Order: sequence, then C-alpha cells, then structure tokens
Amino acid sequence: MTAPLLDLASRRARSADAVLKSDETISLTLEASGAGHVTRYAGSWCQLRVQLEGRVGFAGSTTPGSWAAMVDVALEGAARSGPGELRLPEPTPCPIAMTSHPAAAVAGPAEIRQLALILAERLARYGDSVSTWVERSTGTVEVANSLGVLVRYDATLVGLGLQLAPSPEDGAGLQVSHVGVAWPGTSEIEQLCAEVDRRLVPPALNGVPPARSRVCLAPRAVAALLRPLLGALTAGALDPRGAPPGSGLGGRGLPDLVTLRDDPLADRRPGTRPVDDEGVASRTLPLIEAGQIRGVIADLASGARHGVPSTGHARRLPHAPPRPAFSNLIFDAGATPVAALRTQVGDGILVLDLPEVVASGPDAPITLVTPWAFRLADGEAVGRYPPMVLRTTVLDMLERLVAVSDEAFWIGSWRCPSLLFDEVELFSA
Amino acid sequence: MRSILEAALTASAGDYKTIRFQRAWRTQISFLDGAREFACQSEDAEGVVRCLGRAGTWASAAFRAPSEARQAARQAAELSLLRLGRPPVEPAPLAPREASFGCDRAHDPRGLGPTATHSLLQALGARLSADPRVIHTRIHYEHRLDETWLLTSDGVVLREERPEISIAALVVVSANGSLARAADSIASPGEWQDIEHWASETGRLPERAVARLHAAPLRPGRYPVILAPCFAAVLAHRAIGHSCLAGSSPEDPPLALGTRIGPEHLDAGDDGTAPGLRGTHAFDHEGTEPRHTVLLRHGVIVAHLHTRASALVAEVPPTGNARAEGAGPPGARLANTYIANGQGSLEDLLRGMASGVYLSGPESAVHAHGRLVMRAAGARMIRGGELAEPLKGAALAGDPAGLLGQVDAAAGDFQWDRSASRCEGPTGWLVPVTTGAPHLRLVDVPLGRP
Repeated sequence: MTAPLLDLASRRARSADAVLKSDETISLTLEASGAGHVTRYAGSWCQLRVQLEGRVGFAGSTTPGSWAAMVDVALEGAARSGPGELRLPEPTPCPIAMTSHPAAAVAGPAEIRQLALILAERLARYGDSVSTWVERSTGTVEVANSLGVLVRYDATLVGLGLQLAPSPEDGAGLQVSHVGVAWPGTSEIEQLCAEVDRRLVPPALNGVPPARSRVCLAPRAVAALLRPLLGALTAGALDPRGAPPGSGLGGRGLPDLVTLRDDPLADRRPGTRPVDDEGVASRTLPLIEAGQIRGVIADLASGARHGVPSTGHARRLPHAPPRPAFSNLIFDAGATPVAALRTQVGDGILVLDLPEVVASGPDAPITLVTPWAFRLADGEAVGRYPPMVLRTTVLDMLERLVAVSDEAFWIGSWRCPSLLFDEVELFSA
Repeated sequence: MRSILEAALTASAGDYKTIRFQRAWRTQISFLDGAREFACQSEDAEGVVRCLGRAGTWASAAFRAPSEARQAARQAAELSLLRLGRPPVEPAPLAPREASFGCDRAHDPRGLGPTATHSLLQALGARLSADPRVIHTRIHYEHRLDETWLLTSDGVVLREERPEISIAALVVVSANGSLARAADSIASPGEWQDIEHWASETGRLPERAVARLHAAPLRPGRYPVILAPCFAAVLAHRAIGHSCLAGSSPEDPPLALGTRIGPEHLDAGDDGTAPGLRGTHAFDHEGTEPRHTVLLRHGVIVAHLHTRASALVAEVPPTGNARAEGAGPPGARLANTYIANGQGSLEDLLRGMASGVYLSGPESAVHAHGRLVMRAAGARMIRGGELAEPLKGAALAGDPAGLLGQVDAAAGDFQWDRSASRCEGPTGWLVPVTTGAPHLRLVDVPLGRP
C-alpha cells in the first residue's frame, strides 16, 4: 500500500506519486528431452517520484517497506536534478478495463502442468523435438499521487508456447506462443497447433521464387515488420527537442490502408489497464488514420518537453525514469476477405513469420531472414521455400501495400490482419 | 547470512539442492540534454532455491529477503514432486569447497561521493552539448557492488563481491534535415580513473556523429575488408562463441566438434579468468570455477562451453559458463570471447591493398537462421594502402563460417574491448560480456546495405 509512503513524501515535497506492483509467477517447461522444470517467483517493487522547488527526484525499491529511506533518496535526487516540473494528474473516474481473469488467478502448479501436458500431447506427432512452456502471473498494481489519485487493480497474464528444434537441413527453428489475461482454453491450444501445422505440413521446395513477387504477410509477420514504425509514434523518440508528430517518417506518407491505434482498454489483452503507471486514465489513442499520423504516445515528462498532455502511456520500473510505452496496438482490418486476399497473391509468396526487427526507424534499412516463406498457388500454400531474405525499409514495404484482410488476430499485445504487398524482392539466404 | 542460507538448504527436501542469493547496491544517474534527468540509489536482493526432486523434476523458487529462504526452499521441494516427464540430466559432480572473494575498499564504488560523479557527468553533458549541431545527448551512469552467495548440497559454499562502474553516452546531430548518432560506453571493475579517462576522450563523440552525417554512402559490392579489433571481437563472439554453447538451449545445439569454421591460422576461445573483465567471475551460477577454454584451434572447433548437466552428457569437465536468469534453469553463456593474436600491425595489413574498406565500430549484430548481419557505426575507404574518406551504410552479412573463412590475416595488436557490452540470450536476458580481437583482414566479402 502506497498511502504511508505518499503521506511521508507529501510532508517534505511539494508533490509526489508512486507505483507499487506485486506479482507471483509460476513457469513450467517441458523440454524436448522429456525433462521438466518449474519455477516460482514472487516479488514486488515500488517507485516513488517527488517534486520539490521545480525539480524531480526518484527512488526505487524491490523490497518495499523502508518508506522513510525512499523519501530521503528521492529528495536527494531532486536536489541534484535539472529543472523540470510535472503536472500530476487529478483524480478522474477510471474506465473499465478487464485486466484479470479468475481462473488464471487461482491456477496453481497442477493446472499449469496439465495445460503444458495437453499442448505437448497435441504436438507429439512432431516427435521429440518439441518443448512446451506455460507461465502464469497474478498480481496487483497500485498507482497513487498526492493530489488524490489512488487506483488499484488486479492483473493476470498467462503465456503458453512451444519451441521446435531447428531442422538440420535449413536451421529453421520454430517458436510460437499465445499470451493473454485469461486462462487459455481448447481454442487457444488448437490455434497454436494449427500454426505449427501451417508451417510444417507443406513440403519443402528446392527452387526460389521469382525476383519480384506479390507477398502476403500473415498477422505474426505483420506485427514483427511494423515495430520500427513505433519510434516515429513516440513523443521525442527521435528528436526530443520538439519534432512534430510523424517527423520520424522523413516527410514520407503512408498508404491510406494503414490505420493503427493504441488501445489500453482492449478486452483482456497483455497491455490492458485502467490507468497508466503515472495515474493518467487510459483511453484509446488513434495513431494513424488512413495513412495520416494522428497522434503519438507521451508520458508526463515527454509530454511536458513537447508541450502536449500525457496520453496515458507511462511505464515505470523500479530503477529507471518513466518512459512512454505502447499498450495494445491494433492495425484495423480492411475489406478484403482472407481467401480473396490469398487468391489475389496469384503465384506468389506467403510469409507466416519474420524475426524481431532491429532498426533505428521506419526508414532504416532492415534485413530479415525467414524460413517461413511459402509458395502460394490459387490461395493455397503448396510448399515451403528455403530460407529467404527480405531487404527493405518499413516505409518502402508499406508503399507496396495493396490490400488488407477483413480478419485480424491477436499476437500478444498486437492485433493484426494479413497484408498483401506488390512487387516485393525476396532473395535466397 | 551463511547460517541462514545453510539452514534453509538443510531444512528442505529434495535429492539435490542449491541456493543462490544476490544483493546489489546500485547508484544510477542519467543526464538528458545536459541536465540530470534521473538518479536512483537502491539495494536489491534476490535469491533462488533450486531443487531436483524424486519425481525427476527440477524446481526452483525465488525469494527476496534471506528470512524467506526457508519458505522458498519448501516451495521448491514441493514443486519438484510434480511428475513432468523423463528424469532430467543430473549435474556433473562438484568437489566440496569454501571460498570468499571480497572487494577491497579502494574498488568499492559505494565509497564514491555524489559530488564527484555529478561533476563528471555534468561536465561531460556540457561538453557533448556544446556543438551547435548536437540536438540530443543522453548519458547513463551506474556504479554497483554485487554480492553473490552460492551454496550446494554437495558442500560448496562460495561468496563473491564484484564492483563495477559503467557509463554510456549517446549524441544525435542534425544538419540539412539529416540525423546521425554516435555512442560509446565503458565498464570498469571499480577503477574511477578509467571512467575519468573515458569521459575525457568521449568529448569527441559529436565529431564522430558529424563525420557520419557527412560520410559518403558505401557503394554495395565485394571488397577486401579490415575489421578494427572491436568489430572483429563481435564477429568472434557471434560467429565462434555462439556456435560453441553446449548448455544454452536444447533447441539450439552447438556446431559439432571437428567442424571447420575458419582458416588454418585462426584460433579463438572464451576466457572466464581474464582479470578485470565483465565476463569474469569467481564462480558461475552452479558453483563451477571458470576456466580458459580454447574453442577454435587452426580454424576447427575443439571444445564447447558447458553447464554441469551438459558437461556430464559430453563426458567433459564443466567450463564455468553457467548463468541462470532469475529462478530459471542455468544455461551456458559466453564470458570473455576472443580471437587470438596474430602478427604485425594494422599498417602491415594495409600494405599492398589498392582499395578496400575499414570497418571501425560495430553498431549491431544480429544472427538469425544461419545468417549474421553486422552493421558498422564507422567505416573508412582504404586507398593505396592508407585509410581514406569516411563511409556510411556499411554492413557485413553472410553465414558466420563463410565470413570467418575469408580471414586471411590477423595483426598482432590484440585488444579487449572495454565497452559495457551485453549479450542477449535465447530468452532475451542480457548478460555482461567482454570481447577481444586484433585487427583482422578479410579477402573478399560482400558489403553494402544491410
């Protein structure tokens, strides 16, 4: 409970705010060798921020309880910090956000074991190269400030995933997972198994595709590709001295098929929360509408630097300054049925997955190697190509976007449709 | 402390048990655009009890305060009764030993006064921001003392205190609508003079960023290439070290012993005993003493890096490379990976090169699906045997063995890279490491847009 901490801090500082998080996590892994291990973690942490004479100081602890010592450390930090004052949020009604699930909260080692065994059994036909894992966290988050904000909510998170050892032929290892607030049921398990089947059932092809092809990216690949775009949608990520929204795109536009929003109120997703870690009430934030940038995320500090209010996207850790962070990202579905979209590919390529993209921005060159590129013919995957290389930039790729599927799927905290691109160059790795 | 942890170990059930308890005293300070943005002093603690139960399941439970160790030991013992599958591989035996490796007062960073650190960071922030083309600076400073206890049911009781001071700086410059950045860092085992020296050199960071801004783009093609020691060292880490991790991930096995991945004159290894480096520890997370392991001899893989479990399977001694993320199981991770010294100097490598490219700093290295892509932060054209105009957009890409196979000479100017490097493991957990190499020359490699 943060009340005693804020009480102490308020007596010595002009204002103060704090976040206190606690959780208990059980992880269970069944290795491909048949061995298993299970771990239990329980802990909590707290971060305090104080403001005094126009300066800000912080203190963090992973063993909360020594409140007086935390206040001393935060005040000492404020005395040495550069000038900068933040306007803490006032109490406001909290939106409803589904952040926990009863079955997930009460699941113990036996239920977690059962879930892992079911998944392992469903994948037994792929031999002894499959390892499966389940992780369940349950905890509470409390955010409060000296102006009267006090929000406490329960949170659960369940992850369920599998790994396949890389094949000796092409080094293609497989990792897929499902993450959500609720306890997974048969449908989530079946979806994971279907993802494995879609990758492994089509036969291997020896040839390589034409130099330029139509390419359909499946939702998991879309989520990976778009990550470098996020830097341009964060206040001050590229130029903290006041770049206008979207300047990270280098003056280039996006196709009008692109509509992206951040939704911290989405039902039971990993980023769902009623308030952010600074106590600002959550709301859906349009980021890109029909190709036009409409908003960027900000926390109190980055918003103050840019003269804009916080959008409710602060994420805090015990020993780091708050930073803006996305919650749940939703790429709006389009109008093209998935089957029609695949047919439109013609004799082209379906990419089911891409590796995590490392790039300094959406206009930075990226090289992605994927073993999960398939030849599509009449909308059906008829074989898997050897590992292929995609060399592009995110902006170059999006310029080639010609269709968006009418169905979208959750991949962790992303909801993405399938996308169809024209004239994409893929090389043999 | 020892008696509390020993009592917890003794009280819990289970056939084989370990307790690892770590405390860290840390001070972190960040400066943003010349002003202090954040400062935090903290004392963190985390312990893990790991237990192999009769059901054949490895189980572990985490705790924060030493007083919670007994409860965590009980929880781990209960979890280890879950029957999950085939019995796991047991760890290779460990001889009983007791040792304590303390930190002397002169190197304990907790003795550093706030005034000295604040003054150094403020002066550095002001120097970096002075150039009118600089639009953004960020400095992150941390000093810490880590204390680790490790007790096992085979009679091992170990304690280590480990100091470290690290600092990293980033500048972003802008001109004519273009942006460029330059970054640098250092980690020192408690030597304040190292930090002061680095800070005095790092005042030139804006010049590096500006040079990059005005550099000509590299024309993609095949070139003879010379890698600076820090670039070659990352190649050693990614291409050799990661190919030799036996106890890392069952899904990611190492290349077989006897596999040739480099030319005859290339030797490499991982030295967990090299003094003063980030990857050096008195003992690993399983209690094994680290060692110097030669991984590559005459271009051929001759050894793997092991945990105690993988060592037992391979019928070799463990190498002291086990690291465990929180309560997770230990896996083999790299410590201080290097390519061994050759002969001669950079000038000797340059001599006779009509044209080529010199890559001076690695910006990123990504290894996926058998392909390694290393982006250069700095590059120069080589003309007539001398370093010429700066270049940008250079990236080295290819399969690791293919790249190593193009090495035709190594200079005799080996250096450990003292930057605050970290290696990302299979779960994304970052482990502090050091890399080292001499200048390397590669005869014919594709360079260009990554």
